[in-house]
Amino acid sequence: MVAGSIPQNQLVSNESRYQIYPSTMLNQSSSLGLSVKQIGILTPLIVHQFGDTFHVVDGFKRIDLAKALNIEELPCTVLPEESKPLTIATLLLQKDEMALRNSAVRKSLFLALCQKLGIDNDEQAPLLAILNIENHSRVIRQYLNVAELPHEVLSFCDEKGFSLKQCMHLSKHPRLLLNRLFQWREQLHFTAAIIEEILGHFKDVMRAENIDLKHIEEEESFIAIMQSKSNNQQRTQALRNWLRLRRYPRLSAIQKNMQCTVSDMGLPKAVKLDWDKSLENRALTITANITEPDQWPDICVSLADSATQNGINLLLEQL
Amino acid sequence: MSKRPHQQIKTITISNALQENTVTDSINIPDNALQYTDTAPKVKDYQTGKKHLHITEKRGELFHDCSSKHDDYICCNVKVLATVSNCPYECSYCFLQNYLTDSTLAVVGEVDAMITEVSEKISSEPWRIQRIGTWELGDSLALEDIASNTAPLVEKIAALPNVLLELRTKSDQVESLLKVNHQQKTVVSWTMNPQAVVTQEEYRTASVTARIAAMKKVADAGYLLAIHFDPMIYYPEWEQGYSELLEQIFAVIPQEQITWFSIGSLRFNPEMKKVMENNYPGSRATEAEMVLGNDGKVRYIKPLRVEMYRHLYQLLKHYAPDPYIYLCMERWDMWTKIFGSRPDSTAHNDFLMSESLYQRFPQLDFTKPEREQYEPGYELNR
Repeated sequence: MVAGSIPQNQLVSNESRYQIYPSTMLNQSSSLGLSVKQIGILTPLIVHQFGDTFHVVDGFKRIDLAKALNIEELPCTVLPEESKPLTIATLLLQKDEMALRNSAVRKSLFLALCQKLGIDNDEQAPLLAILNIENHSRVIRQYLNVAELPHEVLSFCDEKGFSLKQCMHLSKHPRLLLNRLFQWREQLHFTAAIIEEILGHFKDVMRAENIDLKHIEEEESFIAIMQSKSNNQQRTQALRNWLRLRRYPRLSAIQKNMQCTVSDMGLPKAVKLDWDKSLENRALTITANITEPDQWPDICVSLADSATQNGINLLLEQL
Repeated sequence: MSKRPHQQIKTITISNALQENTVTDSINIPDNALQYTDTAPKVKDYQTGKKHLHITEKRGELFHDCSSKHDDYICCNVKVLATVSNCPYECSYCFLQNYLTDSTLAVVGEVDAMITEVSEKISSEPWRIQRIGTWELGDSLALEDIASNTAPLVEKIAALPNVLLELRTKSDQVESLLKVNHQQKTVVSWTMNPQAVVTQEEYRTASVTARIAAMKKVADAGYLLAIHFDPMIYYPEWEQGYSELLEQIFAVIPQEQITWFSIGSLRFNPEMKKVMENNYPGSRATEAEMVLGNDGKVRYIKPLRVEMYRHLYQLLKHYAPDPYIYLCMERWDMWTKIFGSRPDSTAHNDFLMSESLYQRFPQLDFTKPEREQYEPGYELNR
């Protein structure tokens, strides 16, 4: 191992074979930037020599700053050319262990790197143990599938701390749809459940109506939602409602009729009628929220009214 | 003619314990393509598993209640005997793709051992008419032209009192059944859907025409029949499709030999949807509005199911009014909506089915069903 200064143009960073994370996941630390500006780069990068070039193993943020600040030479610790991939992977794990252990996305990307470096399953077993990853081909395949998600999606999942299962769900959606949804990220409010619901509905609507995403994006009602001046949460809610209506036209129409039936019954405000909105369970629930004793007689009269009975009959017919 | 399933089977292994066995003897491929083994193969991947057939000895208990049985439904109370595992067909909606832990295509070779288990387990209820299906984990007849445990099973079941074996299939492979001494104690049943659904969703299975022709052959050989319209699949022209299907069936098949019809619709665990979409991207089975019920199954919305079931029920009553008709995996209120009435319980439904069999097929010499035996204390619960 040799320490010394290496010209920036001999360092391979963006194309480094040890670049685990996409650039979207490398948040620049403002204090590092300030420090480098004031006293330069003190901590050497770790690089792996390949002939005349040096692939960065550790120090991607520092080299980005060096480029921005026109620093021509950087202090480096050079791993000899004959260093084994497993040695370097172990080094990477050691440098980023906490972040790797706490993120399904980072684990996925690390495993993908190990695979790219040609580290076989037996060799990587001790690394898996440190990361609490079950050494089973099915589990490893799940992580590797996640690693193939678009960079934007990976960054989001990492930022939100998504579990392997949540990431896995996303990895099963068509890439085109996934990419497009994440392009709307600044306009919508995302949680794992909301993303799943929206993607699922988009997919179902496109299949049921035999249309593509572009077709939906050109619809006026969709444009109106996405361009509305509401906040992200309201816009997301509007999109979810719009998709539900589109996905469940018949169910929505029945629900609307049932709500009209309830309105026509003229029940006192204290009385609520409810039912399973999926219509699967044939049951009506009537609740009365009584705060004053004199409400009760009125409620009784109202419940005994023939309009209530007719309304209940109509509602039960739908269930 | 359906594309024969054996065209996709790449290897066949036989458990060493079965070197002298009727199922092994029935294997219809050159000897050099067979391999005897002490170790049962284990294939994880659902579709890869379909390419490897293993003839296995009987392991563990194979006879039990149908796993669809649920307190929320009125069930038919059929028992199942898992004589096969996985299936060479590729139905887009098949629950096996999200169910099997070992996807190897397997046929149980030890028929005598299976009969012993059945005899022991039914001996405590000699009065009950037992319906036993072999279709729980695969098609009962799909592998008939490669390796068959069916003929000896049919013959041996016929010797058990009060038992009806049900072989349920989407195939047309019935030749091996035609000369078997079945004594009408085997019901050969078909799952039927319009040809448009067969083409779109039931890959590798026999066409509707081929299934009906096979139905006719077994009817002519004296077998009793059953037809399952389950799962009914929605598609825009479903109404016309099912009408034409019934017209096709009843132009050829006599209702007198039909024991029962079942009706049900597509349903699956929520996680199955993505599996289906990944395995069969061309499938359109889940296009219609579907909701999750509190039994954990996703189904078509109730108004659509009611519409589809009522349509089919009216047609069945027109073409074949006598066979017993039941709904599969549906709640009591659906029975009332479709039939205008309902059994009081699963036990009552079982009794009504048995009574129908007893009355319509006296030649089977079944014990007269008594409701008190099927549903002890039913009068007290009224």
